[in-house]
Amino acid sequence: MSSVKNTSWDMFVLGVKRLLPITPGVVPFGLIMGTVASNSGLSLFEGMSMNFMVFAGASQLAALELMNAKSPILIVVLTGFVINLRFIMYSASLAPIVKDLSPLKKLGLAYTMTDQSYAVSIVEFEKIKNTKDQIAFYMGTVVMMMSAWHLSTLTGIVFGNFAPKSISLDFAVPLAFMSIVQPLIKNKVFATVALTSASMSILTYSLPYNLGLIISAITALVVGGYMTKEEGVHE
Amino acid sequence: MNSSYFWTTVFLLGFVTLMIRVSFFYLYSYIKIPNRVKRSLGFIPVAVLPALVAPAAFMHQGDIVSLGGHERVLALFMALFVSYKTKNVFATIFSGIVFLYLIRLIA
Repeated sequence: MSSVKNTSWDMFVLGVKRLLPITPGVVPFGLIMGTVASNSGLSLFEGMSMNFMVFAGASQLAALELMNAKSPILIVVLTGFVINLRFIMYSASLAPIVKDLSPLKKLGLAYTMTDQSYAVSIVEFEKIKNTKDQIAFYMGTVVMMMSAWHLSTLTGIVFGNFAPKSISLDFAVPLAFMSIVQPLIKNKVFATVALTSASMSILTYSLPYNLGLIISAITALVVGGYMTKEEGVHE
Repeated sequence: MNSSYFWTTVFLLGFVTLMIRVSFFYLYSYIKIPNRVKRSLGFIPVAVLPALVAPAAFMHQGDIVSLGGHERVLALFMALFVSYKTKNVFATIFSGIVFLYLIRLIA
């Protein structure tokens, strides 16, 4: 009997099930991504290509906004780089689990990395100890996440621009970002980092090439780093 | 949008993002991240996203004279309250859009 195969499949299904409850947070984001893509004049093919090539929503939305403002390529990529730097953390955290895989498989698994899959997996890995099962579980979360993200973006591209002009759908983008950040503000330090970032972005708004975003983010990071050092907060 | 501009940007953004994701899968046995850096990485979403949100509301020139054209600021704070109460992405986005619509309808 193929008992190993069975548990892997069970773990895969468990991964799908664990990601399912957080898809309501993914779908609106995908719908907005699709709407913004089509409002930016991208074709269905271009919008979905971006979705598959980048596969990181916040950076895609920021990139489209900057591209609509005709920002230089370097600024768009640098901004996306800063937004996606958080994946370094997940990469380091998941690295022990994939260490025996081939470089190509590592690359494949890395491509599928998202906030959602990581968050769900790292909690479940407290219980799942076997590496093979962990990877199977992770793949389950990935399949669920990818389906939710790509299908909702596709829907956004196809139907998004049917909304009447009197409804300011472009406002959904900052609202979506805010709905991600607000629950993360757990204490005074996070609140200060967020407020620094917000006020710096207003102060630096008129800088050329949309440099303000990167300057604001870096200033806020420095403030956060300084405050944790100051208060002696240790993990 | 210019086609070569779009594809170059998307390709580079995709490549850079993939390199970040795979970084420690390849470097794991060679480098350890210092705890200080790890802590700073945890701040990234909170350090980046407000800088995308604030200008979209505060620097947006609206058309409601009684609010000085700042109807999006008002709608944003109302949605922030909904987010605080519900922690729900959909409720937050939906309420913000509806608030803005109603403000413009009433004012």
